[in-house]
Order: sequence, then C-alpha cells, then structure tokens
Amino acid sequence: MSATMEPVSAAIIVDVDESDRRAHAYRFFAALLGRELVAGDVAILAGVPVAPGPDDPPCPSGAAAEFSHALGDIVAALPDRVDGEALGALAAEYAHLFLGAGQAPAVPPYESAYRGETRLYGTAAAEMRSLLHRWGLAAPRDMGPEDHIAVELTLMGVLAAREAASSDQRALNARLLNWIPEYADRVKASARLPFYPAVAAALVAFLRADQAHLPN
Amino acid sequence: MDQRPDDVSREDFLKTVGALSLVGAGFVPATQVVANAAVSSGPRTITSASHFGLFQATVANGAITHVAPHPSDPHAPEMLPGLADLVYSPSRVKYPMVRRGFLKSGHLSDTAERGHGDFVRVSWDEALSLVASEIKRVKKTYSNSALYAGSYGWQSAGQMHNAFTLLHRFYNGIGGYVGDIGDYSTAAAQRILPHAVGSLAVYEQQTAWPVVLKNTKLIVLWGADLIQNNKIDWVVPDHYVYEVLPRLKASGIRVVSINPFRTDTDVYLNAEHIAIRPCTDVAVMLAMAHVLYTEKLHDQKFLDTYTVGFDKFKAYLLGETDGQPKTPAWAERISGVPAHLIAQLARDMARSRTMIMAGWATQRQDHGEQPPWMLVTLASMLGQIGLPGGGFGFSYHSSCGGAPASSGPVLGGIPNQLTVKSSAGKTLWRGNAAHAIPISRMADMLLNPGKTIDYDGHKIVFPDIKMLYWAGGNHVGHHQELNRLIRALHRPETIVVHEVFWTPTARFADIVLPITSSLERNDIASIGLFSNMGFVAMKQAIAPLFEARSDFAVFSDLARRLGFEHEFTEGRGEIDWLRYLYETARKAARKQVEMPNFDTFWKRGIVQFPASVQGASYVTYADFRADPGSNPLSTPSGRIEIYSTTIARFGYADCPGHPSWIEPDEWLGGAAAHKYPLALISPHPKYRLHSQLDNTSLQMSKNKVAGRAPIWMNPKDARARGLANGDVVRVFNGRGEALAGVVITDRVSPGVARMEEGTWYDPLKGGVIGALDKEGNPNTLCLDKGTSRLAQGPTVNSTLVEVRKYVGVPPAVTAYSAPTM
Repeated sequence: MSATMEPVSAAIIVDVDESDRRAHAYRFFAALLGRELVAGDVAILAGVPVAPGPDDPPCPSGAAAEFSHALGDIVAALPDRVDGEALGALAAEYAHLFLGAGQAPAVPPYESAYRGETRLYGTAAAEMRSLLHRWGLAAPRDMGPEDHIAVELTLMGVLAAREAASSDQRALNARLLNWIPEYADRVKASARLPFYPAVAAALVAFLRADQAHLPN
Repeated sequence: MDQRPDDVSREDFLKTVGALSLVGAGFVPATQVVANAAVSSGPRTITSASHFGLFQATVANGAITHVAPHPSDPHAPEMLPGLADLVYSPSRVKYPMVRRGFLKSGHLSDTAERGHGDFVRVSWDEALSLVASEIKRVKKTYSNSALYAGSYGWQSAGQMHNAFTLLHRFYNGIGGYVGDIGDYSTAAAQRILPHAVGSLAVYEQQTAWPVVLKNTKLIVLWGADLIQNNKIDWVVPDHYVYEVLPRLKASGIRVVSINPFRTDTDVYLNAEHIAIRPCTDVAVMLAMAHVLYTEKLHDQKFLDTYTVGFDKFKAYLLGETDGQPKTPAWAERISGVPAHLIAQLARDMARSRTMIMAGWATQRQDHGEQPPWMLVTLASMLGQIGLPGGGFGFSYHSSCGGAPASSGPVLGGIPNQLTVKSSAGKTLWRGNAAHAIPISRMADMLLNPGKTIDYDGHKIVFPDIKMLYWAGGNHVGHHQELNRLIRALHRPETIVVHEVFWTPTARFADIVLPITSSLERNDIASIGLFSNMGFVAMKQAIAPLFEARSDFAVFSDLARRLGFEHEFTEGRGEIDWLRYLYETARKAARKQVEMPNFDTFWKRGIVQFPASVQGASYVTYADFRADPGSNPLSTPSGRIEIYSTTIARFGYADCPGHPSWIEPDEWLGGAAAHKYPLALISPHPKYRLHSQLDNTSLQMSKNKVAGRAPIWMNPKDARARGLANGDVVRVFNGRGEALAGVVITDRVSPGVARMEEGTWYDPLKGGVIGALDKEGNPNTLCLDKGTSRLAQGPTVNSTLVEVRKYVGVPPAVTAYSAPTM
C-alpha cells in the first residue's frame, strides 16, 4: 500500500534556504496536500510537540507564529493510534477528497476548478507553467497540471527561500488566497476525518497571516 | 498519540521536514523537462482520428489547446471538439487504485462495498502484482472457467490499442477465459438473420447510396435515424451519408418513417411519419403482408424461386393456424397505426421500387428476433431483393452503410489468439461450464452459476465466475436493470477494470488501472467501416497524463509477471506493431492499390483509397438473384428461409419456425400498463457514443435538462401530470427510479417516453440496490430478460414506466467526481 510507494519526487533541485521558516511552512503544506501520508511522515508529525519546550526559542510573530498554531491543530487532528489501519483510512480519505475516487463530491485540488474551468491543463495550469518557467522550474509530470495546490504552494516556498521580490510573493499569495479558502470549505464539507479539514483550515490561516506579513 | 518522542523540539522538527519523505511537488529545472519530453515542444498541429471523425489537435507546451475537425471532413459532428474535454477530464483515473477493503482482505473482502467502498492509491508495481496473483489464484483454485473476460464495449478507433482484443490475447496466453457472444446493439438480429438470410446482415455493406438515389422511389425507414446515428463509426467515420442527405432531400424520393418518435432525419427530410406504439412493429409488418397477399400484390415468383416456407407462414398470416387473420384492423388495435395507412403503405411499397432501411431498436425488445425476420419476409413478398435500390438494409443508419467501398485492403489489428506452450498457458476447465455466454445474460450468469439456458439450439451452462476483468467498456450503464446487475456484481471475488475515467463501472471495481486516452499513444485506424476510404495515423499528441499506461503496456507487464511477455508482445513495441499492421495490409493490397511504405505513410499521416466502380454500383443480393444455384445463401436451403426447419426443431415457444407476433412481457397493450402507463424507449444518444463523452462540457450545455438526462414526453402526457419544460421528474417502475429533465414535444407519441441511453449511472447512495439514479440512465428501469431462447438478446425497448414531478430540491449530479461550482 501507500507506505511502499515512492514519494512524489525523489529529488528536489531547488536552492531552498533550509532555515527559512516561511519556505518550510509552504513546503510543509505542499507535502501534506500533494499526496497521501506515508508511515514516516506520520511518525514525524506525531513527534511534533504540541506546546513549545523549555529549550525552544520564544514564539515568533507573524506568519511563523500562525504556522506554529497550525502545527498544533494539525497534530491534534491526527488519529489517536497511528497504525496501518489509520494510515489506510487517511490514504482513503485523500483519495476520496482529492483523487476523484470513491464517493463524490470530490474536492478538486486544482485552481482551475475554482475559476470555472471544466478541463484540467487549462488557463490556470498554463499560467502556472509560465510562472514556474520564469523561475527556471518545472513540475514533475506525474503531479499532473501545474495549478495543483501542492505545486502552487511549493513555488511559494521557493520564492520565500529565494527571498524573491515582495511584489512577486504578494502576487502569488493573492493567487493562492483567491481559491484556497473555497477549497478549504469544500474539504470541510466533504471530509469524514478531522485531519484534512485541519490542514486546509491551518493553511488558510497561514496564508492570511503571511499576506499581512508581506511588505507592500 | 502513542509514538511521540519527547526529545524533539519544534525547531528541530522544522529543520528536518524538508529532508524527509514529506515532499511536495519536487521541482526540476525547466530545461531538464523540455529536454526529456519530445512531445512538449512548441505549437504544432497533429492529425488524428476518433469514432467521431478525423481531427486536428493543436498542441502547445505539451498540452492540447484545441481539437477541430479535419479539413477533409466537412460533416464532423458537433461533439468532436469534446475530445479535448475528454483528455483533460477532471474525472480521469490518475493513479492505480485499489478498494481499501480489497487491499486489506483480498478476495475475502466484503463485496457489497463495491460502488461505495473507499479506494487508496498504490504503485503500479503493487497493483500489477496484485492482479497477477489474483489471476493465478483463481485459475489454480477454480480453473480458467472462473475467469470472465468478455469485457464488452466499443473498440478503440485505432487497431492496435484495442482494449478487449488485448485482454483476450492476454487471457488466451494463460489458457483461456469465459467470453461473450453477440452484443447489446444487434443480438437478436445477428442470431435470427443467419437463419433467415445466411449471414449477420447487420454489419454488412448495403446497396450503395448512388444506386439508391438513382433507382429507389420509396424509402421506408423502420426505426432508423440516419442523421443521429451515423455521426459515429465502429472505426473512423467517413460521414458519407451527410453528403447524400441533401441529394436525397432534393431527389423527390418519397420517405416514410415508422417510429414512435419523429427523428432528426424525419424532420430534415420532412418524411411522412407513421407513429407506432413501441414493440408492435411485427404486427404492422404482418398486416402489410396480409394486404399484399390478399390483394395479390405479392411477388409469388420471387417467393417460389428465392425463398422457402412461405406456405407455412401464409397459413399463420391468414389465421388458419391460430384463428386470427393478421389484418390491418387487427394490427391497428395493437400498434395504434390506422389500418388504412398500413394498407396504403403496403400497396405503395409493392408498386414502387422500395428500400426498407431498418434500424436496430426494433430488435432491442422482447422477442426481438421477430421484427428483422418479418422485415425480410415482407421484403421477400415485395420481390425486390437483389434489384438496384430495392429490398432491405440493416446498416444504413450505422457506420454509414451504403457508402461506396474502395478496393483498399483491410487493416488488421493485434490478433486476439495466442498460444503459450509453457505451463502458464495450460487450460484448466471445470465441468461443462460454457466458454462464452450471450453478453446480455451477464448478470444472470453471475447470479446463477450452474444454471442451464437455451441459446440458438444449444444448451449453455453458466460458469461460476470468481474474477471479472474489464478493459474498455462500461457495463454499469449499458447493461439492463442496473439494480439487478449491482446485486450480480456482489458475486465475484475480484473485479479488475482498466479505465481512463472514473466511470460507474470503475467505481464498482476492486482494482482500477489508469489507462491512456488515444491522444496519449500512437495508433493506426481505417476510415469508414464499409467504405474503407483510407488509413490514418493516430499520432501521440501529448505524454500520458499522471501515471496512465496503455492497455498494451499493462498486459505486456502482466504477461511478464506470468512468464509469457515475449509471446504476448512477439518482441514488438508500439511502433513496431503499427509498422507490422500497416505493412501486412500493404502487402495484401499490392495488386489493387498503390500504397506508400510505412515511414512515408507515418510522415504524411494519411493514405486514401478512392471508391471503386464496383463499390459505387454495389447491390446487395444481386448475385443471389442472378443465379441462386451458383450463389446460394448460407442458409440450410441456400434460400431465404421464411420458415426455418432448424428453428422449428428447437421447439421454442418464444421463437417458433416462422415470423410471428408474440405479445411482449411489457408493452402498452399489456396488463402492467395500468400501473406504468408510459413506454420507455432508449435510443442511441445524439451527442455521445453510448456513454462516451457524457463527462464533457458539451453534454452539459446541449444534452442535459436541469443537469440531467432529458426525457421527451408528449404534451398530452405532460399535461396529465402537471409537468412543464425543464421540470425534474422521477421516472420509475418496479425495478428502479431515475431523475430526468422534461422536454415536452409532439415529436414523441402519446404514451411514449424517450430517454437516450448512455447517461452515466449516478446513484444517490453508491452501491445500494434500488438507489435513486440522480442523472437518469434508462437502464435503471429496463428489464433484464433475454429476447427469446434463440438469441437471448437485450430487451431494453420493452419497458414501462410512470413519471412524476420531483418534489423538493433535487440532489446534485455527482457522476463526474468534480461537480460544477
């Protein structure tokens, strides 16, 4: 089952500044929504302390603080026992919500669907493809259209890591906020387990905090 | 949380996140992608083909931006651009998926979960290991007779990537499988007509249209719609009939249409429309025969020379055997067609050169063997069979029968036969279980293992099926009585489906494998099933989406796992097979047609064969008429059998030795009509190929009413139920209920409701027997019964329903996964 699968991509060829919290946060959300969790992922998530420890630095402010909250919410939404059964249920939930398998309504993970496009690989995907190209990047083909939520979030992480111009970051953030709140609403409406609604809600809160944090 | 180590700080966590398997969309440099994918270069146009016609796809940056008809086909149907919708449908199957319960418990899983159970994504390797081990397990435990791989459906327009051929080839490699006989379109006709005229007749060339235009004075369309159904073709359509129709309209040839509704063809040609009650065609034909005989308008010489058994039939016709002369007045009571119209049309047909063009709807009904047999009998009495423009034809409405044939060669496909000498290919079979079943008895077979049924003089013992493998078809849609089918689908231990989309059929599977669309692979096709106007290269336009693979690749991989990959592929890859298929045809054609070699053809994209002189002047049965001794039909007598000793010996009460009126189980004249007073007919759709394209935007804009399948109702019936155009209604009977959107039109007769087949089944509760179908697949309502013991064909058009306005807010349609926002 999913635990034996390869991750979405084995290689990340990007010059991410690993210490950048915002970049991490975007990549973290992209990872959670880009595909099903595997056993190792859950172990890591489960290992996140809910409250800051005595050795942790003081809680940062702005987007990073929001991410700190988000982590707590996401961890709290994990199943009580993280065993094969729970992983299977989460994988099935992922397929149900985002892969169009199982019972409708699914939650399209593509920006295009929220702009009224009825096809994959339409205008939104083409715009994202151009944008990625502008940054010298391309998404792996098996990920599907470039307007997938994970691709958009990953690019935002790259911009953060590269400390791209604020205007570029604001533009992409605005793009994300254009559709992800509705996506989150749909996740909430269609989900059967608390995990993905928690991730989606945390993402929306984080996006809004990051918007406030980005200089004009 | 039971796994939380205490010594990890949040700071540590954030530092490690990126390095672990939790990765998002891992990007690669753009240059690398461009270098790796030859198909993602700048804008270009690709010529390809489909069941809707030749087309050109514009591809830019690796994506199809536009699909347009090929300039050589001015008659491409309006649904053709929907192919781009199809490729990029949000309902694509993206990755190999396994039902969660099946992944956990394998063949011991709760099969009642099918249709609503969760799926999880697995790797291709895991999925194919699972499929291979299930095949091995079922074969070892139960023998090959437990493996059903009929996998009925349409073939790909291309010859190579033909899903069910590849499936059958693969299964022959492991020693065999239970397959199917016949089809859902013409099952009754294709069993009865070999008895009557010695061949299938439904899938054969017709008297060429130029001959018809020149000689015919009266065309009788019997349940046939030339405009609606010739848009598609079993291969790639030539759309020839759309050249003919304006000429036919201008020609002065009289056209009479006998049909429960006024078709697009009737409207276009302004044909005389004779409204007939569904399922009563035989009564009207008998009455015409009665008029011909009693008024001595029949051709006794033709009957004596070219047919056998008229005397036995005549006794029945005149009522000598059953006390009921088959008069027009008698037929009027049954059919609702005024007696004087029946009589007059019979006289007119006898006095003019008449071509009867029959559709297939009249044999998709209870006792569906009788209408085609009686139609041949009627044509025999007219005595024009084998004359230019006279007689009958069963395929003028399908794949443009009558389009003049070329002398181009036949383009073959990968053979479905395969012999594997190793132990993998050994055949194990249990008892006298059938090797093939009449296809529309599938649910019956699954529900009743060991049951014996009659079929065309034989006994068929239903096998005990444990594994169902479907590649290229949508049975949870085209099979009758879907609630019964769902019950039947609980029976097998394992169901595997190859699919491009999350069709209703895919949702009922245990293992779903994502398959490429035809634009994601290379193939080769011929143009015009009957005309064979040329071959076209179907070039790959884009790289496969997500993790889709071709059926060929999947079966090659499975064959490798089972130890016969080389036998399966014969060492050929995709392009090697295309070259082989093309060159084989070229070699066969060497004496008749000049063809470029494969490389030149592939570069040009198309090779065309002109219509031959013989093709343009072809007259069916002309040779037989000219010399029946030297050119006998393949019937036992060598002649047209109006009475069949063979069939009479079978002793079937539901299919006696000559054409007969046999009251259907369900029809407007029967007892059930008191409770369900509307006859439901479900013809082929105008804007789809069966269920193909139902998940495209054109359907939503043109072919749905209130987002659902349209139901045509006569103003009188609508008024009686307080219905207005656009209302959502419940269509129901004792077998199920479906929603539909009302279209009020006098094109449909009172007492008749018309819903096109092929709408995706969309249950309110997936997998639940009896669930409301939110979108309106008519097979939710149709009866699952064999036409008779002879053909055991489907009886869709013998269905009664009632219609009521839906009260409240109707549930949203969700068949396509991604509902409209």
